[in-house]
Amino acid sequence: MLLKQAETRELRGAEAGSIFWRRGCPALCGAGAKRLLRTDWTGRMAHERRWIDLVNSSLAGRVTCDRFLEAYTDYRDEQLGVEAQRAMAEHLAACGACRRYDRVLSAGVDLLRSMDLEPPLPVAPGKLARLALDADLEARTALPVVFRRPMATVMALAAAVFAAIALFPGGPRSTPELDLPAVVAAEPAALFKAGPGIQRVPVRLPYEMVPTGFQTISRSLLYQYGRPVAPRAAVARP
Amino acid sequence: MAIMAQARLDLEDGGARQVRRALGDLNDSEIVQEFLNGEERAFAEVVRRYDKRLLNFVYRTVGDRERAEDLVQETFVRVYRHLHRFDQSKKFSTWIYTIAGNLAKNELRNRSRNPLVLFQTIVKNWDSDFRPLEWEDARTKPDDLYRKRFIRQKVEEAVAELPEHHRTVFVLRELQGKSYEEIAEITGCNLGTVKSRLNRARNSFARIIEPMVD
Repeated sequence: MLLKQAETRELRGAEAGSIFWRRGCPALCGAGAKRLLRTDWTGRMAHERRWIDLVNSSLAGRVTCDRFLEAYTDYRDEQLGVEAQRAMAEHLAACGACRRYDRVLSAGVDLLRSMDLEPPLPVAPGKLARLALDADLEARTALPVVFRRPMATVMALAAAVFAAIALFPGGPRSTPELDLPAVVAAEPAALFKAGPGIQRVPVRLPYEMVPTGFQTISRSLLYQYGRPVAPRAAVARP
Repeated sequence: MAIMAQARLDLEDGGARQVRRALGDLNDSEIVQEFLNGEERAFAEVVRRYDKRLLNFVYRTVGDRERAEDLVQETFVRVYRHLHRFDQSKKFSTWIYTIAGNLAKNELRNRSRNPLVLFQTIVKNWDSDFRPLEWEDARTKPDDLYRKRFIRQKVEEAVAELPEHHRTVFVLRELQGKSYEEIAEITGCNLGTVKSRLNRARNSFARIIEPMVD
C-alpha cells in the first residue's frame, strides 16, 4: 500500500504512542500507524526497485533513442545500475542526436547556474524579528474569518447546505422503523359455533405475556392467540 | 555546542566575530537548536546560508526579482515565527524550501486571479531608444555581447515557459541540487511523480533552447 508523501510526513520519526501533529491537530501515533508507515516504506522501496529493475532489464539489450530519452533522467542523475548506465553511455557515444540532446541540456543548465542572482543587502535579523512581531500582532488582532471573508463564508455555508440536501434528499431521517414480531390472530372456533357472521369479542390481553423489551411498543400487536409471542430481535428496515 | 560555549565566553571579552565564526561551523540543526536556546544571532547565520539559494529558487519560480525578494523575506519571517514548531528529526533545508515553495505557489495563484502587467514585462518590450546608456567595452565585441545576452534571455524564458509544477521540480533538481526524496518532500508529491515531471521538464527545456545552443 502506497501512501502519499504528505500522509506519511507527520508519521515519520514519531514513536508509537507519541503525540504528533496531523493537519494542525494533535493525534496519537498508535502502533497501527507505525505499521502502516513501515508497510508504506517497504512498498515504496519495492516499487522503486521494480522500476529500476525494469529500466535496467530493458536497457540490457540495444539502447534505442526512444529508450534513451525515457531513461535519460535516471541516467543523468546516476540512478541506473552499472550495466544500464554503461549501455546508456555507449549509446550516447554512438548516437549524434542523443549526444546533441545531452549537450544542449547540460549547456542550458550551466548557463542558468551562471546566472544566479546575488541577494541584496542581507536583511538584519533585528528587522526580521520586528516583522515577525508585527505579523504575530496582526494575527492576534485579526477579525474572525467570517468577517474578513464574508463572501467565502456565505459560499461555504451554501455548499454545506447543498451537500446536505444531496446526501439526505428526504430530509433528516426519522426513528428507524422496526420489524416487529408478526401478529397472527387466529379466530377462535367457538365464535363460528356461536352464531352467523363474525362477532367482535373484546379480549383482555394478559400483560405478562408481552415479551420483555416490547412492552412499551404496543401490547395489542404482540399478542398471539393460543401461545405467547416468542421475542425476536427488532430489525431496522433499510 | 562546546564551541559555542567557548565563543560565548570569548564574547564577554568582546569577541562577536568568534561567535559568528563558531555559528558558521555548526550544521543546520545545531544552528536551529542554538536559536531555540535563545541565541538570536543564530538566525543571522540561517539568513546568510539560505538567502541566495532561496532567492534564486523563488525567482526562477515566480520570474520577478523584486517579488522574489519580498517572498524570501516573508519566508524568513515565517521561519522566525514558527521555528519552535519545526520537527528537528527532519531536515531544516527541506522545511525552509517547502515554506518558500508554498509562498511562490500562492503568488502564482494570486497572480493568475488578479492578472497585472509587470513593469519588467514592459521594460522587455521597450524600444531600443529607451534602453539605459551603456559605455563601450573595448574588451568584448558588441556581437558577442549581444549574442550572450540574447541566449541568456532565451534560456530564462525557456524556464519561465515550463508549467509551474514542472518548473519547480526542474529548478530544485538542476539549480538547487536537491535529491529526489527532498523534492518529493518539498512539493508533496511521490517519487514517481517527481521523476516523470523532471523528465518532462528536461525534455521541454531542451526542446526550447535547442535552436540557441550549439
